[in-house]
Amino acid sequence: MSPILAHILLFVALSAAIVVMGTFYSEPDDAVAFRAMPRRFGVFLVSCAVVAVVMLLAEHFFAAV
Amino acid sequence: MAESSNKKKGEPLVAVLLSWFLPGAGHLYLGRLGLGAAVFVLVEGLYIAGLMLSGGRTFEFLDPELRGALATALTPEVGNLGGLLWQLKNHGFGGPEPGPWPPNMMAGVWLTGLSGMLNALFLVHVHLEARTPSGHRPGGLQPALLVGSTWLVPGLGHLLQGRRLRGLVVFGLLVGFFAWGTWFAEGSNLSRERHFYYWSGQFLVGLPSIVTEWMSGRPRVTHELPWGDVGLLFGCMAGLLNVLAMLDVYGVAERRWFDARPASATAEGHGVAEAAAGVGADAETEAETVA
Repeated sequence: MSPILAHILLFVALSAAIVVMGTFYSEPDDAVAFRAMPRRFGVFLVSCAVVAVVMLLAEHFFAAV
Repeated sequence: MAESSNKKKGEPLVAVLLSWFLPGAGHLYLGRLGLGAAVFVLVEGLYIAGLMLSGGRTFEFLDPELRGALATALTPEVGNLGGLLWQLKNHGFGGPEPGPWPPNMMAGVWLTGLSGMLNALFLVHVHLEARTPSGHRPGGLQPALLVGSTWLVPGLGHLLQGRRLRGLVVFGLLVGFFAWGTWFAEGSNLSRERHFYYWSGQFLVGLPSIVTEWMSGRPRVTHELPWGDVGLLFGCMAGLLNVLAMLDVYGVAERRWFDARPASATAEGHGVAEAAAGVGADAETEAETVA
């Protein structure tokens, strides 16, 4: 497995933990929390991907040597 | 009669600040003399024992470029601010020449960290105590106890609240991530000396991190650890996410604490829950999770 793929998979795993705990914190009801998790997980991953793309673009245009 | 029983025992912020600087002082401020004295003896006793064992050299673990008063704010010792300031004033960051660590150094730094965590739990207790009106018959277990249980064993506080599924998920997730991280780092994460700040985050996992470090911490690293950084991150994140678990437990515990019917409630319905309505204004919109 390539290192970049491994790191992405590990990031996804850690993201899942963050989303689960974040949802538990904000939603006391278990049933509601579990229903909300998939959408929250998707939003979290897409948001992180957007941040990563912005950082890569910034590096490419402003910081690359 | 009802009005007097609905009064707070004191200002919660004052009680917390007093206890933060001098453990037990907040309880004394609220008139709990015996408890205040016991808290002082317990918390400061642990800190002093830790200082004696470690020689007060905890902050010599920090790299020289990181040494500063604020650098110590990200440690469990900050829960006992008075003790931390006393240690900084008297021991600081050590002399210019490093010497060998005392034989029980690690036990010492555990004890000072434990003192800070314990005082943080007593801060939770004194804040709640100040807001609990006289004569109120609280519902559920003491929130500070539940928070402490969650710190010790992630998910235990949820189980004690009757939230079994959530407790098991929290336990599996956080202890699992801590174990996974330790496996990635090959145990190198279990050393405050080597990873000062990551250790502080990891300490928030409670017993799993303490027991693991006690049994197999500070291994000699003899080769490159390709996944060492990932292991550090996972272990530290497990501890930080346990803070969310503690807050989750506290939120439900606090609501149950104040929602219980007051012993001295009058026939007109001026209950203590109304007096403490500011505590959980959004409580009515949240589903009750009693199992």
